[in-house]
Amino acid sequence: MSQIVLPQSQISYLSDGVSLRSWLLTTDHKRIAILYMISITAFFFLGGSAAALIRYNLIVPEGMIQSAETYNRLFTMHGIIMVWFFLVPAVPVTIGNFVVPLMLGARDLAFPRLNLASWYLFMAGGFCALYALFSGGVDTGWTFYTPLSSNYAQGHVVVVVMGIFISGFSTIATGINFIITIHRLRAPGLTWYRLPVFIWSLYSTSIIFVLATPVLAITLLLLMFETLFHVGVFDPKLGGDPLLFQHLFWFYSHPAVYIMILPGLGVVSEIIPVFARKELFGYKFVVWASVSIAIIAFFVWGHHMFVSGQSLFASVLFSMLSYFVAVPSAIKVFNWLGTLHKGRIRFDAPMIYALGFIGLFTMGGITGLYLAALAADVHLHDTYFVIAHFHYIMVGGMVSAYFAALHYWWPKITGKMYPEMIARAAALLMFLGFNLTFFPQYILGYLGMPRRYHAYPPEFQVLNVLSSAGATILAAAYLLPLFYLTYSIFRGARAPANPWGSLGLEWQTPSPPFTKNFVVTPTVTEGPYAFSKHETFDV
Amino acid sequence: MNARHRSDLLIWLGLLLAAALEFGVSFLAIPQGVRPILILPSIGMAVLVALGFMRLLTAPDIAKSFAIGGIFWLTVLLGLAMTDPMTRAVYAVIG
Amino acid sequence: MSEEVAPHTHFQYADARHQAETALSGMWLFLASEVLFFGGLIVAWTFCRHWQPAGFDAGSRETVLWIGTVNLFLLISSSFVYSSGLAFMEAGNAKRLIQCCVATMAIGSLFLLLKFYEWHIDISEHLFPAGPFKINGADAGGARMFWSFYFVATALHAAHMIVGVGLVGWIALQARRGAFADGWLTPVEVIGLYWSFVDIVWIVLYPIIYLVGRE
Repeated sequence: MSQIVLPQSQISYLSDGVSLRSWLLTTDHKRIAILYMISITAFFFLGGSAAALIRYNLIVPEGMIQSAETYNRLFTMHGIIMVWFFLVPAVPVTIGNFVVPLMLGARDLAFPRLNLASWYLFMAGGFCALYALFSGGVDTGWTFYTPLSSNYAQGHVVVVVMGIFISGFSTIATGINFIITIHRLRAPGLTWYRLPVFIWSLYSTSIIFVLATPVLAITLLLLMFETLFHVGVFDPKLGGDPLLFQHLFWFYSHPAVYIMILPGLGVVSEIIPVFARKELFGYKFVVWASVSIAIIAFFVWGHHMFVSGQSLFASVLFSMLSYFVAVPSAIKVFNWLGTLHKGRIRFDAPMIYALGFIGLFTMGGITGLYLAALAADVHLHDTYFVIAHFHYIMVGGMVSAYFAALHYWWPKITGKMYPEMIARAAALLMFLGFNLTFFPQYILGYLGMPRRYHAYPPEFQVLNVLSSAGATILAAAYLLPLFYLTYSIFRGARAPANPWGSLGLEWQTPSPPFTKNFVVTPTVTEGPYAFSKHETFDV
Repeated sequence: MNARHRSDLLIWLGLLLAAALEFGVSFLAIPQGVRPILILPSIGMAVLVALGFMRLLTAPDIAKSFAIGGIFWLTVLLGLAMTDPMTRAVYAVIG
Repeated sequence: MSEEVAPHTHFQYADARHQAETALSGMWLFLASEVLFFGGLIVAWTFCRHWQPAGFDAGSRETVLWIGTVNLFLLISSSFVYSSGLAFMEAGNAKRLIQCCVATMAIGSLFLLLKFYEWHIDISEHLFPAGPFKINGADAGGARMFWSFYFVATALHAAHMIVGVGLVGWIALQARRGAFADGWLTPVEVIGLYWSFVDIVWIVLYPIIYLVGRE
């Protein structure tokens, strides 16, 4: 690859056109990242409001909301919005879209127009889902288990499924774009083992995007066919096999769980070395752990179906395979700890989020092992233990990582510094609020409180009230950044090119970057975390 | 008529032959349980199209790995999904 | 972004070859995704046939064998014609490419017409799985499952065909405008990959729809 210098305007991408048209028809990966960021923030608070109402309902045993139907629609709305319109796209399409070309020393993604198209697909899917959820809602839960969803559910199942189907193609497009870009558009000298871990984790995520999402698409099509024509593909009364749906659904949705955590693992691996001023411990292990998580992800889906009536042989097989996921996950946690060991740690807001991530992710991961154990799962299946487990991974893990990434790259994205002290307070508050919300749910689940019920026996009330109290703290902690980050766009101090003393390529271009990212395509001569060679960088 | 045309023509003839073979063999009295072997000629034809018309052999290396990856994941999907029905104990419904 | 380093090369690429290989790889990755898309259908087929083999095969015997077979030969030939067009263009003969594209579109449209005619026969014989159904008795459930699979699979394949015919037409138009005169053939190759893949899908669907269930 030869080095080329283009005549280019050296103006920041933010000032390169201010009209609405220049935003809505942009093919600049950085602007598309902003478009995505605005959309998923809206979805996040919408899904969050549904969660708030769920917690509000569970304050009293008989349920604050009188109708179980309404409650069903609330948790379905919460699940659908949070999974497909926030967690799955969250880090890849916002932070990933923004920093992948910058980290690679590229001028844009491989297929910029495809990138823009993916945003429009996402929005089209999003509006379908929103229309359905607001014009009456869906009462099936986010998993759409048949035959409930196809032949018994009331509400707009087909429309909502259509929305998810469309937005699925948006993630496939993003996945293709990332994989091809990472293969083809690396700067000279940027070998695979010199890539930041974040790139590796997005690569792994994209594998899942590309290979798992189409199976969801075909599953949803079959579901729509069954719903519209009342024929049996999945409905046992009409000769179908409901477990076929579950197999196909979880072939996507289990890997999708790793879509929702792998980018987070990458973010944390980026942040920890920078704020510990140390090279990432065991780089090769960390990157191959990402890839192996993505591959093992496809071998374990049956652990969602232990009590479904699938064959015992399959259950044993899937249970055994599920344990393998723990190995690369643990490698990552121990390597972060190894990086922290004897580091000179700075507790800036991104680091506080990242440290919180390690604890919460470990907690969620270990409880995952209980659920992978065949016998334990019979007791814990479909209880609040499961809810607590995956919220520790997805909210404690991924949402923390998203906020960590948002703070870490905020100066690069906006060219402004966020107010540090209030950000640290928000990070701590989030950790506190999260644990207060979800730790009681582990106990509730262990004691046998099932999920998805709008009422519960009175002896569970204390723990439920604790959980709801935690949720209000958590809500406050999520609202804080909305205000102070927005404030910093207008009133924040100007950000230098490299406020954290990081060594990544994205910090070697001004904040905010030029439209074409780099004046001269950089040449890379060392790994992304060689802090020992750069003591002068210390701030 | 260059080398490309010649190889395309050969591939086409090969495909026609395989299709005719598949069609013909399907009229033989094969037991119901083993009739899925009729898919085998199709798999051969798919490979022929990929190597011939889609020029997989001269494609970039990553394109080859994507092709292999797609097939590998298809095997995972089919293989693991079928472990369940192949080994499931079905209990009769009473009443 | 219309800024180009060289004709047809977008600003993020080093040179035309770099961009061409990237585009080809991108299409292959998309096709890998498509393999899994149709893979889900094949899982559905194996699952359903496993539970109700007799009824499933009874359903399969009602398919119109001759149309499926003619369509198989048509699609194989269309891939050949398109591939020849690409070979002609590599030798610099744009006129032959256009002719081959038109022939490909004609064969593709003939395929679709036959497919529509086949659906017409199927539906008029009450083989659509919803509503009154041709097969009754013990085999009805399995047969309906087969026909659910049949309609979803063939409709998806036909949708891919319609997109493909449009794309091949787009290539013909580009060729007429002289877009490939300077040896830049990436779109021709990329669309060819897609067209051949749709061909492969039919090659695989053909035995599982028309042949396996017969006796």
